[in-house]
Amino acid sequence: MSARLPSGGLIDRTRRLRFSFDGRRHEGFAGDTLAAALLADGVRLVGRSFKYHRPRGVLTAGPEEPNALVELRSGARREPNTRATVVELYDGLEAQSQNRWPSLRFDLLALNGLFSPLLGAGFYYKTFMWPAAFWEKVYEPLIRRAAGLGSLSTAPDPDHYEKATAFCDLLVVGSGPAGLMAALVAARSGARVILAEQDCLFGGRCLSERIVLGDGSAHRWVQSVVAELAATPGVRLLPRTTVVGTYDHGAYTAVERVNDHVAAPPPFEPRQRLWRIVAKRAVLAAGALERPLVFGDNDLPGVMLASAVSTYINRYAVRPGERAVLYADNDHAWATVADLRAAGAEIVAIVDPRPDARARAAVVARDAPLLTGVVRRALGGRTLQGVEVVGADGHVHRLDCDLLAMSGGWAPTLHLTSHLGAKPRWDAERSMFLPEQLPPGLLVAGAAGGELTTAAALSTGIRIAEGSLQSLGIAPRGVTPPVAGEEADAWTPLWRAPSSRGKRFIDFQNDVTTDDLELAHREGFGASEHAKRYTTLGMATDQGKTSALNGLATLAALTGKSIGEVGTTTYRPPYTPVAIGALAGHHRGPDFRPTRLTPSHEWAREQGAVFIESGAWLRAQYFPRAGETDWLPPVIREVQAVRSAVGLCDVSTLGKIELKGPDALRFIERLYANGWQTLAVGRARYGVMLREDGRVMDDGTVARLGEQHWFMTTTTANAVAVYQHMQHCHQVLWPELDVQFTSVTEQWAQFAVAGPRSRELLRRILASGEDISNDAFPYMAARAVTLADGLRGRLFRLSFSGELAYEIAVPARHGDAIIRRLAAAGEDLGVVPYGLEALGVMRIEKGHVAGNELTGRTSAQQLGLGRMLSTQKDYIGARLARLPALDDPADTQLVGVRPVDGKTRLVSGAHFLPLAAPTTFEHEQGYMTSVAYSPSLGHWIALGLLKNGRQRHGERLRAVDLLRSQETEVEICDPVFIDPQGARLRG
Amino acid sequence: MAETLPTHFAPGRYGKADGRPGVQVCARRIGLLASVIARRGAAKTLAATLERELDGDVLTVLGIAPGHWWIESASSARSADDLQTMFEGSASVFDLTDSRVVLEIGGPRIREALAKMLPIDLHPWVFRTGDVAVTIASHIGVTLWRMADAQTADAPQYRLAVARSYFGSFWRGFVASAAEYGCEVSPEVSP
Repeated sequence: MSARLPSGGLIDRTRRLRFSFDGRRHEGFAGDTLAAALLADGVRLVGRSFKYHRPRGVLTAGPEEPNALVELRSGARREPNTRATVVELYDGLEAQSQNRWPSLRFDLLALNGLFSPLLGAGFYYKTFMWPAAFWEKVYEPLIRRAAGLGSLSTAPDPDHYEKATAFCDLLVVGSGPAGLMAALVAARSGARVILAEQDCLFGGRCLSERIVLGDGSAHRWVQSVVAELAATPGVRLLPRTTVVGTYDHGAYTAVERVNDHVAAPPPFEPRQRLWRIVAKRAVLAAGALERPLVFGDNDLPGVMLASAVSTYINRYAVRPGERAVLYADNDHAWATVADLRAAGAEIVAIVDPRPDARARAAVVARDAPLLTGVVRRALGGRTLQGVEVVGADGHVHRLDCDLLAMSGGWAPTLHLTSHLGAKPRWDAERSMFLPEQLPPGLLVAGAAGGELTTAAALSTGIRIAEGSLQSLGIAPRGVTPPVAGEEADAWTPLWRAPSSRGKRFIDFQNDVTTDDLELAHREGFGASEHAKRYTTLGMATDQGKTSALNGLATLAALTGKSIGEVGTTTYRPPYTPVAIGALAGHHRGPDFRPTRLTPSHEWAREQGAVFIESGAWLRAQYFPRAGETDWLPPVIREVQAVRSAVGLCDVSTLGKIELKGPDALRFIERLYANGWQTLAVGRARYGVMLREDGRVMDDGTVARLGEQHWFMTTTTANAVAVYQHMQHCHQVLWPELDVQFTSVTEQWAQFAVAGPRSRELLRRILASGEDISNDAFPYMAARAVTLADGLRGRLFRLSFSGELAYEIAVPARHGDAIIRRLAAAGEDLGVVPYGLEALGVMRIEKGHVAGNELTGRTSAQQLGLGRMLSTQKDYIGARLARLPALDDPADTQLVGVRPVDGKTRLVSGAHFLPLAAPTTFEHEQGYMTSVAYSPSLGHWIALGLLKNGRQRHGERLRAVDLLRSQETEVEICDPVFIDPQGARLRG
Repeated sequence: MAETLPTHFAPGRYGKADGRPGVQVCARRIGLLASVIARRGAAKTLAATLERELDGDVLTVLGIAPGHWWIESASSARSADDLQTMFEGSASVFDLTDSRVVLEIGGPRIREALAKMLPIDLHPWVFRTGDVAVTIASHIGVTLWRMADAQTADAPQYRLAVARSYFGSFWRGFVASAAEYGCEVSPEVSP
């Protein structure tokens, strides 16, 4: 049976939309929400409750909906827990009810209701205690299956989300009468305005209520204001945009549902857009939320908020029931009676707990009975069939009805005022929480500030906007509000829920009843924050929008305090649920975070490189050839090629910083622990940098390119940190030093050319006049060079591998060409590209420390770099580096490690223990930091940190890895495994 | 162009294929990008000198930080070494010519596309011709400056410099941001 009215509403009757709910076909109109279209088609049962699986219908007509949660769409786009009251209907919409089995009408788990005495608040803390082992395997999976809301698709979301930033003078949140007036004042005054409205239409209550403004309908007035705003430069209208959070310095977040109202976003358009709005001033005009009343079985489908009833009638032309009872403690809700009458519904009775309202209500009631009293219980199976009313005289009336419109007055939507931590104040006279301490720049207008009439909303909207603009130095242009009619707004809130045999729900979504709160109070969880955790009141998708106030009122009655004394729980963003996709925006998959590519990346890819993340960089890990299916064979091959012929490796990722100025040397002396005075132009030196606490910060080389021109490198991992450290040192510690420096990491493509035939290879690409013989260009030489084609580059004779080696740097745009030229020129020399793994193997063979040893917890002395610490100068970390504790033999020292049997694979992280001692922590003597298979030695080797390690070469220990259940007998040795005299690199 | 730009960047139409492109991009040839940092106490005079002697049609002087400028030019007629000689004693000059990829970006929807990446206010009342911003675009450091509006265009023109190694990630984000407006990448290299 259709509940659609023959005319009226803000729907487009020329556009019929087909949709399905639980597989059944339905039809609605453009402009409907899913809830409206379901109600229009006579569907009243739309979901099952969280815990007891009770039948639930539509309670509200907005984002506060606790009941009508559905799974929307199918396949990868399936989205659980969408609120049918805000889902805009589109052609082909598919929705499923949730939390029921096998079907919505017949849900086996509704039996839970019979066991409800066992399932009270916190039942899972008490009931599933024994045996403890059952919790993870049995109880939790069972509870999870029985409870919960919808289920995720688990497939990757096919849609694109994005984030954006917007700026304005005035952000207006909400477009009811107050918001529209505020936006209009600002727009006419030439300010930059953003008007954010969560609905697809602007107008707020003007869309839902039959309000007369000036000489026409409020809706016509809204259209004229919106048209003017849209035509004003500097105004940005954001419909379908919910402002969900307030942050510092006038920043707000908002979610724009760009394409939630269509089956799939059009090509190249995002599904949702997360806005960061930076507003000099903001007006919160988000209106107010109607409070449900508490009585037995108040969750039956057919029990609805009065404002929702009016909305379905006026906006969607849907009559939510045939025979209606209004149950309200305020005069405002009487408008719903008029709406119901206009929609052709029978008014069965008006129930009002206020004796003083009788005379005023008589006019509204007309021929309907007017009962002074309270509803005790709703009656019915799957939907409402009647109500039990207890009159003031104690007499019980039973009324047949299929719709109960209830109203417990209004609670201002003040969430955004509390996100910075301020709690709202209880205004006992007006029976509402109102913001006390507002976030800087934010003011409240209209119902959000407790001004419940349209006239007051219009005038506060204007006044607040004018004040905000004036504080910005913008002269406000006058706006005259339309004349609003009289509105009945008397209200005496009914907080008490009459005792009833039915469950009296406070939080519909979490199945929290008055009994649960009584239990919480009995068990010592009567404070609002405790009661919330104990009962789950106010949690999940609606975050207590319809339940918080009733919960506090119940706690107040239980504790004998006032509602204000009980106080609200903490409001936190977001105001309504936000999809994780919107928070991620573009940053998912390969774009999760930015990736840096080396100058030779494309070439390495062509060579079949396997890449590995190294900080933000993507570096070649190794270069497998046909037939090499594992990582180790190519690494062995690459190491052998470097040790016997020549290899190429992109080392552009090292941080590169160039320094100039008369005080550059002084600056470098203070940064590094070792001395630089004697470094000649054209030479480079290894350097160690300490932190203030005396531990090693980073290492690298510094080359002197000119008298006052220096070039330093950092490790890849610390490149940014070292540059920041240098900026701090210069700007804060020693601004008097006349030194200038900048990061040139991106300017240079730098390649290691390493191996006994590296000189031969380089000669082939350098200009013929460049003498790089050992005499002319010895170990640690550094200078500008010219390549064969005239390109200017820099050449450094540095070696990380321990071989004769160079690093050649060229301007980055030429990097790709040069690596190709090197590879081609070295073909007959047996040149190979080598990756990060081979680089690591060779540095371990040489005993060079790297990230695994430079952990920020090691001192130079521990790492065997103690002799580098200069005693001739002051530098960062000098004082604390001399603390005895940093050079304590009882502390660990860098050692080499090899397996005694010459073949067992070593594992990084294994702990050193004496051969005989038990495997307990007190016998632990250090651990292995870096391991590698050494192709040169034919067995696994490692570096490690061992207590008093330098004195223990030759000693045998156990290397114990309890994580991998592995134990190996190892021999401690010198950390330099290959060419300890360095003959090769000087050759 | 292959020499100057990473391979991700290819001319053509991206995103929405019909209608006038909302965003237009072309690569800029960088003949010179030099970082000029004033020697101690020399910032004030240097600022005046830079503006007087360099800023013009060929070279653009961009204020990057206090006492710190970028000199940018499509022409390689002058090198960073030339500038170092010119400002010997008053500034240190560092060659960054290869460190950044520079794009010329414009089009009627360019501000909306950039709003998805940059956290700064590009409203024409706020970010005016000649203004420079050292900021981030979706976690990637960028330098953006606004050119004089083109005579024929109804949209602002910007130049945007992004570190070479980050360009691939930046470009993916940029194309995604501009896709709904249609993005045309010109085969031309400016100027």
